[in-house]
Amino acid sequence: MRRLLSHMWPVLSLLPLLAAAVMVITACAGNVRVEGPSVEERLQEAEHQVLPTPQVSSRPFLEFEQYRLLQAAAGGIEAPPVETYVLTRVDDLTAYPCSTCHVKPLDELRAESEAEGQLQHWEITLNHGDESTLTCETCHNVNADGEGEDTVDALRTLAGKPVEFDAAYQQCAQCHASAVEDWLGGAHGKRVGGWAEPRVLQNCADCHNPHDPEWDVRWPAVPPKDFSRGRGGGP
Amino acid sequence: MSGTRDDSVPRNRLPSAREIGVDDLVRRMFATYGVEDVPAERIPREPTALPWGELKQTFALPADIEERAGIEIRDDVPPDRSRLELLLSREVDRRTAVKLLAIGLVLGFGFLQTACRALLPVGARSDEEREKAKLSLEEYFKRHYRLMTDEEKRATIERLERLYELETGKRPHISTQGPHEGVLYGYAFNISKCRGYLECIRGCIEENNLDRGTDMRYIRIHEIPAGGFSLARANDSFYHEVPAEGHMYVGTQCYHCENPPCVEVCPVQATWKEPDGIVVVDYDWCIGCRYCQAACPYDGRRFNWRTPHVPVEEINLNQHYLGNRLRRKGVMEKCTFCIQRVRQGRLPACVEACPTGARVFGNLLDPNSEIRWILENKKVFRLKEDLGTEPKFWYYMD
Repeated sequence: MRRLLSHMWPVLSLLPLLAAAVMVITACAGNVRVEGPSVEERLQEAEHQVLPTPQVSSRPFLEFEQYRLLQAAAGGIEAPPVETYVLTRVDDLTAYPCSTCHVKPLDELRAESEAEGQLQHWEITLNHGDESTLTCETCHNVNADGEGEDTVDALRTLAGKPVEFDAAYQQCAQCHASAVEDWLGGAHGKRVGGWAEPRVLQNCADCHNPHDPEWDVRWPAVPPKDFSRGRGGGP
Repeated sequence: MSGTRDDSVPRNRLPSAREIGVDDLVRRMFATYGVEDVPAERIPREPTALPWGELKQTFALPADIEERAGIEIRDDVPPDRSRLELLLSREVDRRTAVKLLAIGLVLGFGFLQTACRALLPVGARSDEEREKAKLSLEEYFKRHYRLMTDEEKRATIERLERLYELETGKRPHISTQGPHEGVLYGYAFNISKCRGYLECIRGCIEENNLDRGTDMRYIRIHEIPAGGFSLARANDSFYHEVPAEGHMYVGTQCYHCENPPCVEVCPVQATWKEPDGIVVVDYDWCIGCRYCQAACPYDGRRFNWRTPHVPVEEINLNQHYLGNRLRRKGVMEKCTFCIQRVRQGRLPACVEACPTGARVFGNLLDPNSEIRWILENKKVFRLKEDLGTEPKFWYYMD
């Protein structure tokens, strides 16, 4: 036994050190965790309570916005649980109503403006889907010749039903159903005014150019400060 | 200032202790620093020529205080100013320092002037300077924000607003609006939408009066190369056209944890979690030890290494005591979810500035809120969840 010990002493002398290390590691691992209720527990607790409605409103910050109640029933859109408003579009359009000019068939109008050498809507290039999927007529009722259902002053669904410009999200919802679902839920798009009631959302076309929905590649808004030459750019 | 100025007194003479309201100041100093062993009624009410021995007795100072400091002061005559200053410059504890300062006031020296020159109304040349000095001194003796009465809050706001007005000619509005009942703020960040435009950072800098001189940012946007979510491989000081091919962008900032470790480590309780879930800092109580910065597992806290500079014309005058009011050198600051905005019902500046809609903010206690819809309908995650800090900041994907 003595002989064994005398041979083993380097290993044996390391044992207490090892034990200490293990203790320190486990203690650290135990200490890192911060104890306290989780957010989930707090939310579950709140479900069983009657909470006061926060006495705060977004209204003062919506003073300069124009918005309308969401038109949910049409376009297969399910109404969200809270009253939802959407920014109007018509006041943003530069050439509305369309019927100011579009009173004749499109071919005639085009021939006229070609004769004048002054093309209309020249700034619009359709870069959305491809030509076999989307053309002007897919969304715009360019050959309309009447009032009511067949008006040129509204968009047109794939099935030929009119959609007001203010409710253009219904038009988008035909193809982008999941994006619209996220938009209504709150995971897509932007709220206007504030987090408090009323809930006002930006319309699809407030962020996405419907004719060219691809987002920009651009430079960031803030350059990093250069500290290589002493103090960074400041006064 | 208490008392009236005698017009026959030449302007360059230092005002007497009475003129600057000595009793008031001494009492307040004692109250603030808990120097209870000096009975208030024993404090001389006007400048006197008490000998040093008597002063030591009045202010309950140890008999051998000057000896221990290696200074000689005669017991039977009033100490002169330079001796007292010398004594004060030696290593004395806080209570002794307060007493020595008070003795200086009682003796009618413009004595504190040396100790805290910028704070004192004594010797200021113009009325404006005197007002500034008086306000700064009062600010120096105010209490912790959570211990203030409404009246005290109103008074400090008035002082802070006036001080900034005296300095720049512009008067901010500093709010002390408290939390709304039934509100717990939460934040969600869509990592498939962020494109690295950094509009959020610009919005934050402008809204929160961040130092323009240094690279002070509450938000960091990390550019992560494809092939796994790893902040270790991320670059948060990119400057090239974005989004860069094969990269994703993830924003971090203060997560306003439900169990904030930064709050736990603060030795002076200068930071705490408000009932609506916002973790705030009392900039006038912070001692700048940066323990909180070390304790935060998310790099959420920032330190003012120098006096923050914001050009007067760029200053945001809509301020909150616990939010974007102007900070000093040597204190911590961080994202407050734009407390000055969200308590008014508005969205934080970063949410409003984001052109991609990657940022969502709302009330977690409202089951119909957008943030709740995301938590219930999207795949969400938080960073370092195993620490138990319970951030109120979730990441999600389309």
